[in-house]
Amino acid sequence: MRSVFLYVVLVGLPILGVVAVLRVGERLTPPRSVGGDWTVEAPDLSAGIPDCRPSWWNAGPLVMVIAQSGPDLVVTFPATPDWTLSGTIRGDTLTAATRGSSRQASAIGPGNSADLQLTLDSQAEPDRLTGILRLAGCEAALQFASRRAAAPPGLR
Amino acid sequence: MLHLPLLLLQVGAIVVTARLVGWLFRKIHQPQVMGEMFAGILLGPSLLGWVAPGVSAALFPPESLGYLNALSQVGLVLFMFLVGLELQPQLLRERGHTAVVTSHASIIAPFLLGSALALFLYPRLSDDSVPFVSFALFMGTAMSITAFPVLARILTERRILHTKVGTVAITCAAVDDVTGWCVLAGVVLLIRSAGTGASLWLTIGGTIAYIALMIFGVRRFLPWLQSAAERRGGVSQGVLAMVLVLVLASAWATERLGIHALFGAFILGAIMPKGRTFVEGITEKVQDLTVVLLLPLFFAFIGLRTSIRLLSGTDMWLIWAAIITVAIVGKMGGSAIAARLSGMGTRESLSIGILMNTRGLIELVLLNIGLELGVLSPTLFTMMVLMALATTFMTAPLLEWVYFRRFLPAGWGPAAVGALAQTDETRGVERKPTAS
Repeated sequence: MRSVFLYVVLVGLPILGVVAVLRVGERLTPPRSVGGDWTVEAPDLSAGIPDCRPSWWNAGPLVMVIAQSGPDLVVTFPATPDWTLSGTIRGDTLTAATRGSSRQASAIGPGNSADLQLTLDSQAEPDRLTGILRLAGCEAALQFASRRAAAPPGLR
Repeated sequence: MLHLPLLLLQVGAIVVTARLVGWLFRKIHQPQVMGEMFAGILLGPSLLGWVAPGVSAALFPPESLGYLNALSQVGLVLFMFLVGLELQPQLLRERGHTAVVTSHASIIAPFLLGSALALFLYPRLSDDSVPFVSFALFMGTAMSITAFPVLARILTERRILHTKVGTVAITCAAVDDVTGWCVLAGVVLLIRSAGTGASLWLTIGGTIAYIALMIFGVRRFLPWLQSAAERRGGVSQGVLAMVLVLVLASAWATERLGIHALFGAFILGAIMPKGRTFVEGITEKVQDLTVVLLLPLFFAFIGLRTSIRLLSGTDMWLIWAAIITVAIVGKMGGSAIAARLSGMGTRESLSIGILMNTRGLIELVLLNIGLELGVLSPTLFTMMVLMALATTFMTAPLLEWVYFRRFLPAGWGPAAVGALAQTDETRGVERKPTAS
């Protein structure tokens, strides 16, 4: 009898607790998923100042990789390993900027910093990010658009 | 394209580092496998990639990691087969009822706390590609796992496997292992079926058919292999080949079903006949290559995906502190309280809690699956890997402190303990066998 009581208290009640947690958790709203590989679409060259464009900009299909942990993002471009942007996603808006290491600064250019401001249209085009890339020292921002190349790992 | 010289260089560097760090860890009374896991972290961005980024980029370019991963996955399939092979269903039948409350509580307590912690972690370290239910179930499973193989080795090395504490701990670990993998299979199935749109019921039906085939079909054929081994006085290459083919077939089946290859390897190991000649023969032939060559590749692969630098800022370290607190309180506390309420002594109960808190390699296997599925983000993955390492690392010193030293009456030195070693072991009395 004591064993049964113990089993109910130590095992049965916690199982009910797990069920309750699962129900409560369904109401939580996590950040939008943008992690994965994105293919940068051909930029509108007239919109930017060509001299300000990074040397690798037109080297071929450009891939942008976003590593996501909750709202925190790390944005990298495999074509240029020195570029690492850190940022966040709030709602549908993604912002990221270079961390400012000396190696990155020389890779980016005279202004020594870059920042990315992108928006996800989660209703109409959830697999497309559009916005601008600003490079320090350039007057105009580069128009930036990218399309999701690979789904998040769990959905592949 | 495969670049063989680079792959050979990678394997060589990994094996050398693993052996070296494993040897250093043995010197501080930690299991070799603990050092090998740590070696993997050293080879990744947390150390090598940080102090020598050029060397790291040359030795482990991202495009080469696919081959390393493939090799390590083969190693894991063999390892999980060995874990299943080590399980003794007879042990569960004979002693399972005596440890039933402790074992079930040692699963559900950390499971509950892990899933409750998911409420806090989900908005901070996950995203909307992962349903909360999958995330919470995965976190619960990750918190409740016990490293059966590492635990068995610790108990054997310390010569306490046949004591009351050892018996209850190993039985609970066996139950935890089986339960943990079944829950994980369910979580993987849920996530994959949601992602691909495949019918969940079709997968569940396939899984039930697979398990039925294994239990009522394959298991009846296996004693024939055992008899062949016993007739020859050992496992021949022919028998070994058949066993390996069955392992691969079972792993392939569960991978195709969507519940991961490792589950199939584990199931086949678990249903294998447990004749001593047969089990020892297979283990002897498979274990060395798996443990010395292939598992370190997996540790290195985990290390390459673990970047401690992702834990930047106090808030990240506070989250990590919350994770490790929940892991210890849930597993160690849950097991210890259940053992105590089931009638065991306070120190015996605490020792069981300490032993059950060993997560080790099995946790890394599970976390790797979580990262691959996208359930774990890179930062959460790093936190959980560090938690697994910390909880495994603390087992030996805590056990030493709580179980061995405190059990000795005042004035008893190592020599007296050593003299009692054999008697204690046969009596099931809890005393430290040797000073080491």
